[in-house]
Amino acid sequence: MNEAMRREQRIIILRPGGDAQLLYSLEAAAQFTGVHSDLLRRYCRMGLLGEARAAAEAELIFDDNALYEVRRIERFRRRHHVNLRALPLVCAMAGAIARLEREIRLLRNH
Amino acid sequence: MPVKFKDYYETLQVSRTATPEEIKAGFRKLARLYHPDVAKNKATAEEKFKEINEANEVLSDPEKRRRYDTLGANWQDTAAPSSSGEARRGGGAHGGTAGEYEFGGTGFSDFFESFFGSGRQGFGSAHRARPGMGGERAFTARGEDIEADLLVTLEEALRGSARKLTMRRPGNNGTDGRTETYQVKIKPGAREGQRIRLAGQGHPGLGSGHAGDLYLHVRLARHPDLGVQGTDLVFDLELAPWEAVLGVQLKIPTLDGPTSLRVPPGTAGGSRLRLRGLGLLGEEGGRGDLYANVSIQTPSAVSAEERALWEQLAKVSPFNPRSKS
Repeated sequence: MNEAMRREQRIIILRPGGDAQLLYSLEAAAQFTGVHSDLLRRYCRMGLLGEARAAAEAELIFDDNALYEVRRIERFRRRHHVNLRALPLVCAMAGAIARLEREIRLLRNH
Repeated sequence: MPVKFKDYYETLQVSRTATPEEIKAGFRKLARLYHPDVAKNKATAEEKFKEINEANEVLSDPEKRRRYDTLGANWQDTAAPSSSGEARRGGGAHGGTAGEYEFGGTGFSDFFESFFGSGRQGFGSAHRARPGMGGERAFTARGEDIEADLLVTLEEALRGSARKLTMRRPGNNGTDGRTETYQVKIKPGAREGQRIRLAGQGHPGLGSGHAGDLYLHVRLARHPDLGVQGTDLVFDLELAPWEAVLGVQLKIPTLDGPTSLRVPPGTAGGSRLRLRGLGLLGEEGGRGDLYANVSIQTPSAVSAEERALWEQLAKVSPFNPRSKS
């Protein structure tokens, strides 16, 4: 538990829309995902992490969804041997499929 | 602890050959009875509501229903089907085997998670495999993540809620593992597909690698009366012909309780009546709207007296919907 708390030190909590939302700095995201911060920056530049938004100070910030996306990219690379070049295509397809599934699910629900 | 089979048809009180409409109707009828807001005995209603929702999740999705129907009597021997394109060489825990993580309080049973959950379906999802099953031969490896679904009602998505979840970790070599309890906060404005991360609660790592995370996928529960369109909510408002012509004041269900709605005289079928600010929470903190979609229903059987009145109306009224110029 102490380990976890120490690692959580660099969490930034902002308050958009009046409620606290848990966000992570680049360093915290690198620690939690096990992915080097340079590589995270690269993933952001490649447009693979839609949820990672640039804050006013031009620092990258990540939310839970973005961390999940990073972990998924790592699975694509390690388990399925997707190379860096193919990543934008694979991520775009996975993202589009997830969006469609969500929409279909909500449409079916009514 | 073996996973228990769920008879979803029995839960929704529909036959195995029920049509999608029958399933929808069955769900609606039961969901209205056991919805937490209206039920008398809230404790039992909540459990029942979750069961009903889970059954609906599977039976209202043609793909999931097909898979469920083929499970049959030997379901425990069936390996959980892999998502398309992914080869699973003996990897992935399937229902009934030791080494399965068991959840409580997510709104979904372990049976569901074994066969239909996010951890099974998504592309590149973290299967509930032990580290090393992905073919990694490292001595030090970060633990794999665990994914599970979390059923969230629209009311919870709007107002937020605190949920208590339990997860029983499998023990080593068949011993009973320990059960962890988590307090998960669902923030107001939760949306479908959103992920909630519980740090370090995934699979333990190998060697000095640290543990993976637990990701909960938010799944919005189907509301018996309201549909979701982005941040807006939709209600099917059915009117009798005279109500549409003369106008009527009535109450419709909303997430904020039954709300009075004035239907103006001369409301056409297909029109949308908008109630501002009664939708779900949006990105910037504002709320979407609730739309009542009007449809005009006609009585199927009328008495002789009614028929006479309608015939009189037909003679007297100059209204002809087909003569639009």
